[in-house]
Amino acid sequence: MEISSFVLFWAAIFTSNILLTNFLGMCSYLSVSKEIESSFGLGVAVAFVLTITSGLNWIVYHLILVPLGLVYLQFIVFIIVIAAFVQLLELLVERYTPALYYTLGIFLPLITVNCAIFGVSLFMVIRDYSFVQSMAFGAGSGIGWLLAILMLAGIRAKLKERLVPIGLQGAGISLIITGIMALAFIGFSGIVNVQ
Amino acid sequence: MNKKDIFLVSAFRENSVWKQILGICSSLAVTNLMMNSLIMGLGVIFALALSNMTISLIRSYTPRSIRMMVQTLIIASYVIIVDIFLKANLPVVSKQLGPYVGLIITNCILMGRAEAFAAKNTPIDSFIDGIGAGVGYTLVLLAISFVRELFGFGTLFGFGIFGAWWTKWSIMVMAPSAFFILAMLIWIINNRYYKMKG
Amino acid sequence: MSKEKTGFRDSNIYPVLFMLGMSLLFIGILATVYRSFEQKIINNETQAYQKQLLSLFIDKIAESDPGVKIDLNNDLQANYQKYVKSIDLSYAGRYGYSIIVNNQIIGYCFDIMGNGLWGSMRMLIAVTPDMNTIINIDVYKQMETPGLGARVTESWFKDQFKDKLLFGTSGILDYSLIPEDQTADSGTQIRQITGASITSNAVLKMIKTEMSQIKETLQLQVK
Repeated sequence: MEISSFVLFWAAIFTSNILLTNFLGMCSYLSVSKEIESSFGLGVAVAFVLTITSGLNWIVYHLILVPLGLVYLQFIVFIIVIAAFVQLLELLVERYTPALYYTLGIFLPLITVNCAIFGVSLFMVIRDYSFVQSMAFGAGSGIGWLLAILMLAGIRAKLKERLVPIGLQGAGISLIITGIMALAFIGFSGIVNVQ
Repeated sequence: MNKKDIFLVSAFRENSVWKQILGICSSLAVTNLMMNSLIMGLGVIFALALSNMTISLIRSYTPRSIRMMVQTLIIASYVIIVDIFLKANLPVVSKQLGPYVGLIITNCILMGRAEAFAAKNTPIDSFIDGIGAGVGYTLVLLAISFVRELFGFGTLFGFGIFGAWWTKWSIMVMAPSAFFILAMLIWIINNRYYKMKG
Repeated sequence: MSKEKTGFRDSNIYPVLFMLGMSLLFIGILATVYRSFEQKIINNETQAYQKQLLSLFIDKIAESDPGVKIDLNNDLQANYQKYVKSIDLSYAGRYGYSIIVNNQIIGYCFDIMGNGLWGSMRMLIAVTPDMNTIINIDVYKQMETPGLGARVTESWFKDQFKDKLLFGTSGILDYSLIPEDQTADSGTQIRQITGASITSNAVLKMIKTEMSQIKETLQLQVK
């Protein structure tokens, strides 16, 4: 395995954005994207948790589950690792940086059930990544997710004063915007060729 | 509310996908083929109905503080059973669905129904509610994949519908089409809903 | 804790014990389910692999053994044992097979690996007995982007390698990629998958490096 982690990082942001091509993390993406500020908060939290948990899950999978032959329990173990990490993070942030807690803290519970985080851990196992590759892929996916939710929030802010057909208001129009963004991102598919 | 009503409400009137936009994350990716959508839907129905029932069975013994953790554990267990079953009996489909079977765990519908219904109702009712929500969800997946497979491959469930003259729309195979089709579906349903109300 | 302690159910230890009990119960169930299906899962994997391997040679076998009709769905195991023999390539960390019809080797098959854009790729490559010509290829494990790189498994892409010369008089041949909508006019041109040049290149690179290595080691062995 010598796929450069750098290529993987960029590919995860642009050519294969976790949200725009793999549809992961849609629930909180659609519900939180009403405001740019909270989108940014959630996005940063997701990117951070994603990077760390993909590393943690790599360690757990390769150093504990594989040697013990418990690979079939990977789903449960991954979700527990993610939940435990988020809980720990919440405690630490609340204890040491109350200011950050007030801006980011409310998003932390949303993260455990964010499919993107769990999905990246599963992709990492299926694609046989090394530790460094997993971290790079996790960080890239997180930043890609942040980028997608920020773009949607920006466009939705502009749309607030516009007339949208009543049946399309809310989720409908967000999905159409996301579709157009996904189309635009297909244009990036050549980018990682230049290695 | 009788059993039939529970089913109808959770399958159609309060369908999680088009009323609450829940649970689409893990499954839009498999909607390019109808067969995959159907299997995915059946997996969700199975996991949803049984986890709802189990959560309801132990609801009065479960301490509130660890409620979420217990629910996650139960849901994850049923999803693993679905995964093992697919690997053993439908290896080709299992390979195509890849990580998306596991992603049923983070499907918001499962947690949503557990919290909203199973934690307050009897096991039988919860079971029916689970089947209802699962069926409603499967119908949405099938509707999206119907359009995507028909135009993207010219087939339905793998059977050729259009002949060789059909130029495949590769956009339908790729991700953006799923967003557009889901948006259209929501639009159509909402319009009917507003017409009924107005 | 500000909670009133009125009984065991309200004590601090109860949630812990409850969680522990539930975990043990469900992990026990899962372990039982997994163990009872384990053998079947492994069998499925071997069968899919054997089927893919044999289907690469199905035309060749029919050619050299006329009158035999191979049914890959029903007598897979019997056919596999009849035609396929493993070659020991373990010192190189690869798998190889010779395909024998009526005591004559009609071709070799090698299990080679390389890297795509997203992860490792594994491929079966079938070659003629002199190893100079490709009979067929099949990518059996890949993690590429659906709709782009994942199209390496489509038959138009794989069929391009049919009967392509692998080794010329001056060593292994270099293949070049041309856009998907053009027609290949020389023997070394391969139409690449649009939007997936990394994957297309990965396939070419995998064939080139792995096959020249395998040929070298096999020749050494023969001498």
